[in-house]
Amino acid sequence: MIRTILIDDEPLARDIVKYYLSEHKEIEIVAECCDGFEGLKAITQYKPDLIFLDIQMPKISGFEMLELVEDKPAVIFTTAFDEFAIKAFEVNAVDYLLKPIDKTRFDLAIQKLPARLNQSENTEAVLDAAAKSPAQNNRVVVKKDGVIKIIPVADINYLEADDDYVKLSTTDGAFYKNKTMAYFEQTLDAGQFIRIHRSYIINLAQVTKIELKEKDSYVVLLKSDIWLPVSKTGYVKLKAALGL
Amino acid sequence: MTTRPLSVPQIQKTSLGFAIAWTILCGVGLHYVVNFSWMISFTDSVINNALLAIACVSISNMLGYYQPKNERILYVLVVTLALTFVIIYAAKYSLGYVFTDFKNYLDFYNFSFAFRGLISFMCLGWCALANILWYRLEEQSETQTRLLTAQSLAKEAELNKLRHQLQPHFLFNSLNSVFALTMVNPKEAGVMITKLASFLRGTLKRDDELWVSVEEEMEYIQLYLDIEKVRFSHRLKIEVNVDDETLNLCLPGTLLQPIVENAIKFGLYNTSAGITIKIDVTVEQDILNLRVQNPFDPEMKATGGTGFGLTAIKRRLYLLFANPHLLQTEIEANNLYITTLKIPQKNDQDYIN
Repeated sequence: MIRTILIDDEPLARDIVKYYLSEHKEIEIVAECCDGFEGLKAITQYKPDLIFLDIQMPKISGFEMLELVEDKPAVIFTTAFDEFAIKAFEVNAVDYLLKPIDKTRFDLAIQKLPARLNQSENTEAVLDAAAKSPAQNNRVVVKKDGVIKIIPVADINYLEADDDYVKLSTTDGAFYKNKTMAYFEQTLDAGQFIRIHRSYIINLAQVTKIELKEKDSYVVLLKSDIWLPVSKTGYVKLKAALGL
Repeated sequence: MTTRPLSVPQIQKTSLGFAIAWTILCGVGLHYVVNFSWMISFTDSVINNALLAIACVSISNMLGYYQPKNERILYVLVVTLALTFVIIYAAKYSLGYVFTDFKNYLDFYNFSFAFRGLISFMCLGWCALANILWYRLEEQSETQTRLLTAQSLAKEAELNKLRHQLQPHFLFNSLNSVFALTMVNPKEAGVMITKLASFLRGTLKRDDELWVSVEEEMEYIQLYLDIEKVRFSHRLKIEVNVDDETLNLCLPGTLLQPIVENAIKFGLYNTSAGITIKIDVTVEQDILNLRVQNPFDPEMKATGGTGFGLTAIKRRLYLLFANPHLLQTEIEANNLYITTLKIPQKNDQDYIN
């Protein structure tokens, strides 16, 4: 038995999927959710094998929700119109259904399902691509103590590598995100965020001064009164970004 | 900017080679045919041809700077003739000065003077014609490029306009809802399809230049709201109050729908609870007031980054009325976001199509 959750903000859109699924007795719907927050809760609670996920939804997008899920179930994305997302799906061979959803196409997706139940790598790739979309790259969604927090990127003071995580330091405290430094270096606006060191990316707006510590070794002071080391290549990038 | 023929390396090389060859040919010819010494032959050839070359270069540049629209041939003829006289007399006096003592040579020079003039004139004339042809072709290809750029820009603008009008996200989501209704509630599906069709028809008809009456506009908005209501059913409540005296007033047909769309987007898309959108239409001192009110989540606003996305509407208002203050937004207690649109009523009926 495959257990699934439907996540879509429009009740009628969920109705279609429900209707189509009624012919597939091997799939059981364990929950229906109308936004990403509910979806996340339901996924944690039911640990489904499969989710049907809409992309544009209230509060947080389907992509942002999925980023916060630790053990990702198989995903079939459903979307009405989003050129950017569709391209990401195609490139990474993740299944998606375009609304209005065609019955034959739906059945095909279900048919291919057993082979795809372990496709989380592809899903990760889609999420990385989605993070670069103009609609999403001005905020970061994180989870702390079970609460979802949306951080505007402008509020990030600096980012620090921390084992498998990246620590985001903001004025409201520190948050952890299960991503790499390279991922943030690529997705954050290169004009605003500079990787000054293997372990640090800083928000340019936070820089108060740069000082020479020893020969060829610099440190930077942030507004939040924190000194961070600057590597040789980092110093070159920082200088260029500040127009020095 | 047109390219000068003489700035093209290949032409530079060819003309230089041609000039040198011609100079040598003239020198050798003078030496063997008329039996002057090498020195005299080559000085004569170099001075004459150097002057000719300078004249050619200046005529080419001159044509690059200025070409009369009419009487082009006459202009070229006069310029060429004048230059010919300048160079042949310059050559005559400089050579006469250098070779004062060579009576034979000076006699020969006077004898061949008219012939030299003719050759110079032909050379310069040919040079001028070649240049005119060159600039013509340049001009043509430039016009072609400009035309192509203008065409592609116009196409892009048209495409953007169409996409904006059709709002693909709204359209496909609505189609999906209709599709669901055909199974769940076929009767309702029929109603929805006709509403969607009327709405689309209204959308395609809309144009910045076209003013519509409040009555017509509110019917259009109602269609839009009805469709959104089907999509979000229980979550969306709508209150519309239109004063009777406003019904015959007018407004540009492209402004209100995006504002209502915004209200729904920020009211509805940021919450999964039920919301109420309120629209009030009133008139005050010949100014039509449209007030749209939606609840919002203050936390979400902070993260939206682009505010409420009204910039495009503001820009359109500015283009229509040259007044940036017609669109106002305010935030009331209880997290209500209010957008007010003011449309000055023009008594002049010319403005109302």
